[in-house]
Amino acid sequence: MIVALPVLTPLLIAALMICLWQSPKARIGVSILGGVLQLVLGVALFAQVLPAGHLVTQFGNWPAPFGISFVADYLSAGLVLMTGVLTLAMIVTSNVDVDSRRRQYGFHPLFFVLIAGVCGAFLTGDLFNMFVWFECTLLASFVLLSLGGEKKQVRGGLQYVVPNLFGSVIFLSGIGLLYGATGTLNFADLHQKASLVHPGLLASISGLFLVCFGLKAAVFPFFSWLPTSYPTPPPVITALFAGLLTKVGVYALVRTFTLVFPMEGIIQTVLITLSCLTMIIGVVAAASQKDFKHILAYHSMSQIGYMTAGLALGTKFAFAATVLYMIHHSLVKANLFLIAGSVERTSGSSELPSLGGFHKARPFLAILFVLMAASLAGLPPSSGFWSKLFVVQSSLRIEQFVVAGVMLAVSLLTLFSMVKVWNEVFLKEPKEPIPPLKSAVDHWPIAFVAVTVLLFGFWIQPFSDYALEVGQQLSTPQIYVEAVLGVAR
Amino acid sequence: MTSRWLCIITQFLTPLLLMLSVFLLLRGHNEPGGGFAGGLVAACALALHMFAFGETAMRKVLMINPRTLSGIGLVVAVFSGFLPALAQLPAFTGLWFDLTTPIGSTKLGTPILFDVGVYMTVLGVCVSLMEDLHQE
Repeated sequence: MIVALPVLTPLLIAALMICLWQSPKARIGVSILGGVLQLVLGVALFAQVLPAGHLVTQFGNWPAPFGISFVADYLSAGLVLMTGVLTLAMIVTSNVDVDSRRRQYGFHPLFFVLIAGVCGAFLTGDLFNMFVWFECTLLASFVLLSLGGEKKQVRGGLQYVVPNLFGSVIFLSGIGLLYGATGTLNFADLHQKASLVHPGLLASISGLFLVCFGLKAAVFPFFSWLPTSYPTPPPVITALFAGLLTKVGVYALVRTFTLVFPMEGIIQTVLITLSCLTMIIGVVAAASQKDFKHILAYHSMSQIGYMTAGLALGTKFAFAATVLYMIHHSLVKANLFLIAGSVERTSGSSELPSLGGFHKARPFLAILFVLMAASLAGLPPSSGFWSKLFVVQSSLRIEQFVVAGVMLAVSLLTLFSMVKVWNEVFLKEPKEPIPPLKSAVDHWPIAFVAVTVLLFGFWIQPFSDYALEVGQQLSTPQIYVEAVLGVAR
Repeated sequence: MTSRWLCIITQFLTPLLLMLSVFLLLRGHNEPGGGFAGGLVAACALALHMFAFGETAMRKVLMINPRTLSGIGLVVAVFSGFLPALAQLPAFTGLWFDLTTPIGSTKLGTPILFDVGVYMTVLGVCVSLMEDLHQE
């Protein structure tokens, strides 16, 4: 039952929010309760999965290939826990960041539907059910993006929803073809039956999934929707998207290409090339930007390249690196967007030329920014350093020297961008004096996420042990299959 | 300027349609119907009432804010998924028990609760949409 709770609880909270349409105060209370619950459930699920390896629940008690299975392995449980941490931070920030008009138009229910969709995608053991959760997140995020109806928001929302709907169509076509070829959509069952399909057909179908999940994860050349739409809504919504949504795409890639499709031949070459191009183009585009949020959005895309590269390398160690990178990047990037949000709330703008002087006016925020920026660029001993170490090492181990070279060069350019932001936002003399901080709540969530990032950096042992366990599980899918199908018999 | 015939017929039709909607809701488990169809029929009944007697009269029949109603419906539907957990069963497992009354016996279960939730949500959403359109 605990496996289904991280999905059902936010849905229940969202429903409660609709009941409380008329009372804004109660909604804030329930939203914070929902954030805390999400974190507690994440911790509880993780604690239960750790000794067991896999937890499985069959919805409606229908046996495995017929009903819908929910499966929590180390990977899913870790990502759900990470979602819990971010949910709490975001919902607390949203109470200062999202204006009352947006709240009146249903910010809170949408937020929790989005969280339910993300957790559902992480936990489901059924390909079609995954499509349903993808749509759930897509609809909720589209409305969140355009909530408020500013001109730039509507434009950003359209640029977001059109490519993503196109991706959904490709996803659905892929599901249809796969079902036609194997007669099942349960991941565990697919793993057994995929080997019976003609390898050429399987490779073509896997190409469709590569395109649709690549589009959701913003991999080159399907990335253009991300930098145009992410910076338009209130920063906390952007932070939520940057932390969670692209990771759902990466997670789906990892899940399908370890369980169902083989990562070999042309698909592997294509994914490695795309990953390197994503890294390079993202970071070069970021260097030319003059807006805090735009820089972060382009970096978001560039960092996705590291994760997909880890998946494409296809070794146990590389999977571990991918997972470590996903968790590191979600926390750090979401937190950087929260910092950008705090800056924007103070100055009313996030354009670099009009900012400045924040290191004197907000010393605490400046320290938090330095920690996060160092982590994003991968300076030791931050979480980014360890994640990058893992990815680079895994590419060196199988002698992919070009990939390793690209990774190192890109992290150098990332550092350059972060130094630019530091100079412009924090160090430069301000044009107008910076008003004092309105409420202390502003910095708490940022500090809370920063603590988890620091923990990650300075106490890497448990995190790396966990990631290696995930790598082990992902490269031996037989255990997953037994866990899911075994329960039914 | 509503027509007198509309008012007269609506007086009979609204209760009939509402009863039909409940009938559809309850027969939906094994035969065509169910919470969604029932909710739509109930929304039709209220729409008719609104055209004949105006928004305030319709609200009197509904007795509750339609948005709140759709929220309560969602809560009921999700809650019906939670219930089997009390019996140590996976979420959304159908639980059934026999209900015997002097008139006859029937079976009640969590799927009916789920359908009732869907009925309320559909009704609430449709009515609040109609109200918004009516005001414009």
